[in-house]
Amino acid sequence: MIAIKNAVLFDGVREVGETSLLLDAAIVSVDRAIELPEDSECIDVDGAYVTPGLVDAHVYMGLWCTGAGSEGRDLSDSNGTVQPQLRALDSVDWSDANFGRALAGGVATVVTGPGESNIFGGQALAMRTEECPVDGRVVRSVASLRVALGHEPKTTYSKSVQYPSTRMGVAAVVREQFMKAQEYAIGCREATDSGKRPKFDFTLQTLAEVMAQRTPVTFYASKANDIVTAVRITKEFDLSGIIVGATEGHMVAEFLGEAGMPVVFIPMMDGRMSVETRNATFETAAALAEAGVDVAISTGAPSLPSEYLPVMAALCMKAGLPRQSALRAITGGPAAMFGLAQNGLGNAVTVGPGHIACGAPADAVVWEGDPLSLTGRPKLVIAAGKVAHNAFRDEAPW
Amino acid sequence: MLLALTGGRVIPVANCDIDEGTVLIDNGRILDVGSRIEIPADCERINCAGRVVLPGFVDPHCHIGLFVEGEDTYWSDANEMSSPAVPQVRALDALDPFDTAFQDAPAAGFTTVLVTPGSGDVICGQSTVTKTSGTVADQMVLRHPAGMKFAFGGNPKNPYRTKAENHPTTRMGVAAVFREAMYRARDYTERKEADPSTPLDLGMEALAMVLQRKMPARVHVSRGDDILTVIRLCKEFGVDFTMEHVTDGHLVVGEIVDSGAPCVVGPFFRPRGVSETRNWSFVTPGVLAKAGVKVALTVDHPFTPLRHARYSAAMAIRAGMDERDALRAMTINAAQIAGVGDRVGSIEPGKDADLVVMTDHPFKLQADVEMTLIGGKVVFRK
Repeated sequence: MIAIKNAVLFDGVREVGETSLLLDAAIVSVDRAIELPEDSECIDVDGAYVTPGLVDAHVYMGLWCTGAGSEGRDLSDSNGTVQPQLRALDSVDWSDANFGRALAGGVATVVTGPGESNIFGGQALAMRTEECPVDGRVVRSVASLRVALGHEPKTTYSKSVQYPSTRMGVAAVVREQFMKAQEYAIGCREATDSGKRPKFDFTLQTLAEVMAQRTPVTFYASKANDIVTAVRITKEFDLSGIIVGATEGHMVAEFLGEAGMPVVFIPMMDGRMSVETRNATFETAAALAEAGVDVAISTGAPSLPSEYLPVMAALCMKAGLPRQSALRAITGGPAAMFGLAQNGLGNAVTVGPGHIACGAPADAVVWEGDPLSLTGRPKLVIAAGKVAHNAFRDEAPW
Repeated sequence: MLLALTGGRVIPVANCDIDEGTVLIDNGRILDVGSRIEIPADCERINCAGRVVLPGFVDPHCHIGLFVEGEDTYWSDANEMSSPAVPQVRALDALDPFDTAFQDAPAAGFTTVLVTPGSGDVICGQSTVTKTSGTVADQMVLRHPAGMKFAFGGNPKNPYRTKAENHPTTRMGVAAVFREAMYRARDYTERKEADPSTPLDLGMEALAMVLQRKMPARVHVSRGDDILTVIRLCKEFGVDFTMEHVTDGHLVVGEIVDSGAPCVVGPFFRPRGVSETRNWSFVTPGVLAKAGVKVALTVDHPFTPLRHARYSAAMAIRAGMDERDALRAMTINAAQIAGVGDRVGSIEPGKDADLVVMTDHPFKLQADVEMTLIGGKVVFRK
């Protein structure tokens, strides 16, 4: 067991001030006055800031791998625009160097999955970045279904003019699939009476399960019109929808707030190289939070490597996002948004990643300086109760 | 036309910081800088108390005005891909001052940039150094031509995954394109000297300037092996050269030091998907600077836009770069590498009054640019 004494704690939801932690594979206790078991290692962090292991909610790590060129790209299957049956779990390269770098940067949990070239890209995986046996790394094998709207799926197959080649077409494909899945589900239910089951359809079976189980459906949408379309479709089919990207989210912030639609905002460190991104600004997160939207912040790694997640949160804070919201947006916020608390690490965990609370996975980051600054960085990263990165001992990936 | 910036913490870069300093400007040039400067009565004043006054930032490698932001014409004007060697083309002739990034640049404290074509060809064309404010390219230009852009490694070999069939497909092929062009330029100059009626060849004329060291080769290079190739080939032809990006620089420090070539390091904040980028690290600029290499930082705008350049530099400091080195890498070193160190890059008498007034030290998160001057004129005010 590890004890962390004299921490200033942000617990994933709020800043709770000075306290101490006792960690096994899960968090044993959080209390100012903890009793140390005899075999525990005690680390006095002397007033350093401590956060949960960070959560990066929309990445492509392990499917777009470090240094591997096209062989390392398993992002979007080119076999058609509708592929909800594909699972990141079956493709992820657990040894991708992106994971180790992310962990050294404090990111303990990621939701990684297919890219946006197809409309239905497939199913994303919630996993730990820590190197450990594969089963232990899976937090949730189907964390979400990834749907993409807008420019990217519209143009994927556009070399020969092929359906869909407009935003209308993209939306029609999404709507058609969900309608068919509804029909398929009804057919399957009624089969118990009539014995006439609809012919097995992998695509529709997947979508029917997503709808029945209320698996989060992430809609990648950059432009305001695509964001609004995502809300419309979410409501039509009573989905558990989440907007991802949200480059123009600030332009429809109030609408999103009223719709109660959560957002994974991916700030842009790149230039505004397209019509999709021409309105990119760090102010989006603040505008959304102000309108009452539940906001997570993600890197979209490796587009931007995940170890820079806290820097993105810092820049969103500089642009007006309150400090606590900025920290929550990279810890407890995304974990709750994707429901990662519900079936955590083995059976031992009752509270999900991104939180420091009894029963949560023992992932914690001890910071040198302020995590929400340009110079703050992890001094000590603890994953499942073990020191995974020690800035004084290990080379940092910066 | 006298103007004084008074009372601010002046960071001249070339000399020690001055706590409550004055920068005196006369007709667009810096007349004097110091703590005890007499300000003439008829002088206009800008109170900079509580503020930090710096030289305008310089990026010696960017594509502003060629890759225009906010449009899907993204690749259109930076790469003339009809041939792998296009030394005759000039950034100046394509530069779009109405690129919205030209409004963002002074707002982020950038006052001078080197705009370069590339890097889809082996020989990409001629760079130009320009100020960041104006509507007519010719009035903005500080130095032209400012160098010939070359590219080694993955980009010219597999140009942006397009099907430019006349481009080389191996690193050997890239090197051969370079060597053949340089041999042809040498041959052309000799023939032209012997017989002035030899037909004019614009590309060869431009390459001859490189061979005669009238302008440097500016070489895009990332991987360690490519860095060594570039050093070998530039030595073969005795040209002045800078290396740009230098992603694997921290892996071949000794060779870079020995080559004497200045390095323009960056961009960062990028995917590490291919062999060119797998080793990028904010460690590199600090390691090279410490080893004695003249280092400038670049964000390769728009790959990382100029408006985020300060954050990039701050990350280099977090990764171990000396803060003074980082500041030099964004100012005087960048200016010298761009070939305009006599005009910009520090606050010194005689230089252009290109200045940034900030609310705090530039590498602090909360620091904002409050005002930017180019040639003594306020071009941005928050």
